[in-house]
Amino acid sequence: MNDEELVFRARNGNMQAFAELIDIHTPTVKRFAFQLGNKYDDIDDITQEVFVRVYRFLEQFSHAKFTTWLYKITLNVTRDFARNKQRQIKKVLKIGKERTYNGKTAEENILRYEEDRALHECIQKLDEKYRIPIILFYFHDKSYDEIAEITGISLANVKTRLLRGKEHLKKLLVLADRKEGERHG
Amino acid sequence: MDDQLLEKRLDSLKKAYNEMPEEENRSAILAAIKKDQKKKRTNKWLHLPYAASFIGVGMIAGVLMMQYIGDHIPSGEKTEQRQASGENAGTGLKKADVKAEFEELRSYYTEKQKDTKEKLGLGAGFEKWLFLSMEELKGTEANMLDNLDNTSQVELELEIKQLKGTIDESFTLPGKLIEEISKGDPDEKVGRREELLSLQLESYLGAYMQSMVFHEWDLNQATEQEGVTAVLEKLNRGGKGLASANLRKLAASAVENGYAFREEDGRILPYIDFIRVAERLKPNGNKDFIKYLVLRSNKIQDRNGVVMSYQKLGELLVKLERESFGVKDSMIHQTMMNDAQSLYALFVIGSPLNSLFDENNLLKGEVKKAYQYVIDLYPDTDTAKALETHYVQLEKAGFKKPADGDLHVELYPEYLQIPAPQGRQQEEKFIQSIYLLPEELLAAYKGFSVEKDFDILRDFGPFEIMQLYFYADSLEDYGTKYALYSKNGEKPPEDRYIKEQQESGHKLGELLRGYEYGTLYQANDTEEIVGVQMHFKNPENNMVFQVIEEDEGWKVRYMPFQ
Repeated sequence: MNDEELVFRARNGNMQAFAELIDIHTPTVKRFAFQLGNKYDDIDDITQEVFVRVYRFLEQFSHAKFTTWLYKITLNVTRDFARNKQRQIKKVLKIGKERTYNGKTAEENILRYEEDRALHECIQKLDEKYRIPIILFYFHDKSYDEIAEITGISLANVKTRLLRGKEHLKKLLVLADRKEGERHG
Repeated sequence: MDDQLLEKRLDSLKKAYNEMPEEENRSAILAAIKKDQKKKRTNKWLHLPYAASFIGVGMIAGVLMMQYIGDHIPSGEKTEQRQASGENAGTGLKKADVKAEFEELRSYYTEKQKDTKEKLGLGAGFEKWLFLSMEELKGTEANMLDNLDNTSQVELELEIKQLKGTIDESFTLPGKLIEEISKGDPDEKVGRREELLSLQLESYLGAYMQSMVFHEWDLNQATEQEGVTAVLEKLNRGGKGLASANLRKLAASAVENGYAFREEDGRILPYIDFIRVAERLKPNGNKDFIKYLVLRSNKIQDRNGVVMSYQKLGELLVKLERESFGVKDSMIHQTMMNDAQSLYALFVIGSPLNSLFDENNLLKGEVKKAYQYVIDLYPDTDTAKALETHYVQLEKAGFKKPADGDLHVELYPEYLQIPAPQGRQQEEKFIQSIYLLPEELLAAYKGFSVEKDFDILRDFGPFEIMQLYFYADSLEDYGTKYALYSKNGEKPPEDRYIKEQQESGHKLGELLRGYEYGTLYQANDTEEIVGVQMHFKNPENNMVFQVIEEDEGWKVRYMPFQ
């Protein structure tokens, strides 16, 4: 059953259809939220909030591609989340849990290779206007059109930002590699 | 660094991202949704439009899960709530105590499950379709063990009691509920028992559907020997006269629990026999509930949700309208209104599965006929009147499909009293620029920015308050922006808020790209104004700026954009 059909059923009160939407899209939301620079410990809270908003506004959703809408909501939740006081409290509560049993942070467990971690960090350093198109293009296989829809910028701008973003990223990576080289002598 | 190397590294990172652990989040998310919805809804009645038969086995898990999480917030969240409310934390609860309690609960669950399966006449293998899963219980136990320090013995007992209650409800057979309701008081209001019957009927239907696969061989044997009609008759008599003992058992329990069998697409399948259930509830069941069940027997969509006959859909809408007038029970009345609303929308705008227009984007002949049928045959009904308005508009457009953005219900039947679509033509549009403050508002802003006294803003509506919010942001007057927030609800302390705003460099004005106009936004259930709907050139960007009426004035909800 496709997303549109599941959405239609969910709108008509079928919670199982909505549960299916959750199951299908949770991995994407989590990945996207993590790629946007959120702490791994916050990802579950963000994902939860994304679906709460999706459900809350399901009535308003119409004729758009569900995933496009979901990406937009994830972006908004991420932005709001950064300002949310509750998150600050939870963060304090979670400090003790940040390191896992093997002494690594959750981020280190996901990005096991130093090279991946360095690139992840460099992407976080990019300005949002470059970061989001790069994430959507390279990690979510989104087309220029889809990126334009999700971000609300023109097609031409998407192309420009991807090109410029890549250039910035290369520079940041060279710098990061150089620092890493110096650290290891 | 060249492009090729960068792409290689991006590809490697993508693989690492894709290997992120996929933990189960569904129940926590559903619990959060339930909690969120609880704040908004007063009518808890299960609302399932008249397509009951499309609900397959997958529905069961969802329905029961929602039952399960109904009043059962994961213990971690409860702990946070307790901490927030300043209630006492740990009282020396031991791990062993929790484990023992849950062990006992699991035994209780297993017993109930076995007993219910037996009574339903189902063989092995249906556990995961029928009831809340054992995994859910394990999850709750794990949560509690994680929060041991913050949980008292009393809270443990309360949790166990709630879970036991949920298990009891989940394993209540429809047959038992039918019996109880039929012995009740006809004047008693419709309540949890009736709601549970609706839920359980839907839930167990999936299990019966699934079980038919296991009875296929027996059914084939029987139909080869006796023919489909005879077998159906015997099944619907509770299995009497059937050679297979398994089939007899299945049919007896299915019929006892409110199901019957019919032929669909060359297969014998169970369905909810609403008419017979309604009959069995007489004479002491609530009359409105019985009436509702009879209406539910009108099957207009197939198992996949495809409308089988638009004419029948039109007839059902008329029936709903006529029957709704005599209904006294508020819950049933609201449910019927909700159903009528959904079905009317299906009738006039269709759905992804039920397009009303053909490949040439012209209204399908059968749909046009169904409209004419309702308009000609039931001219005095509100349904026909609303439909006629819709029909005339379509006719003017040569029955061509409207653009996607214009595909909406312009006018609902009057008895539904749905103001929004009617108001669509007359609703107040705020077409003025958000940043262009009229003199009066500007003066009020100046006063408010100094005194932070809401009395100054008392005469202004939601749109003006939104204007002030944007205006304060554009001036980087974050103190005033903060003062516009509702005093209720979570928000950071003012100094931190102002500091964060100053550091963020994010301008609200950026959100206004493509903004066209605003309208008031009402809550679906209470119709109270809860925000300003911001309309954009691209409707996908539409969002709501949330406000709240407080102390006889309008205030901004913290994090207002949704």
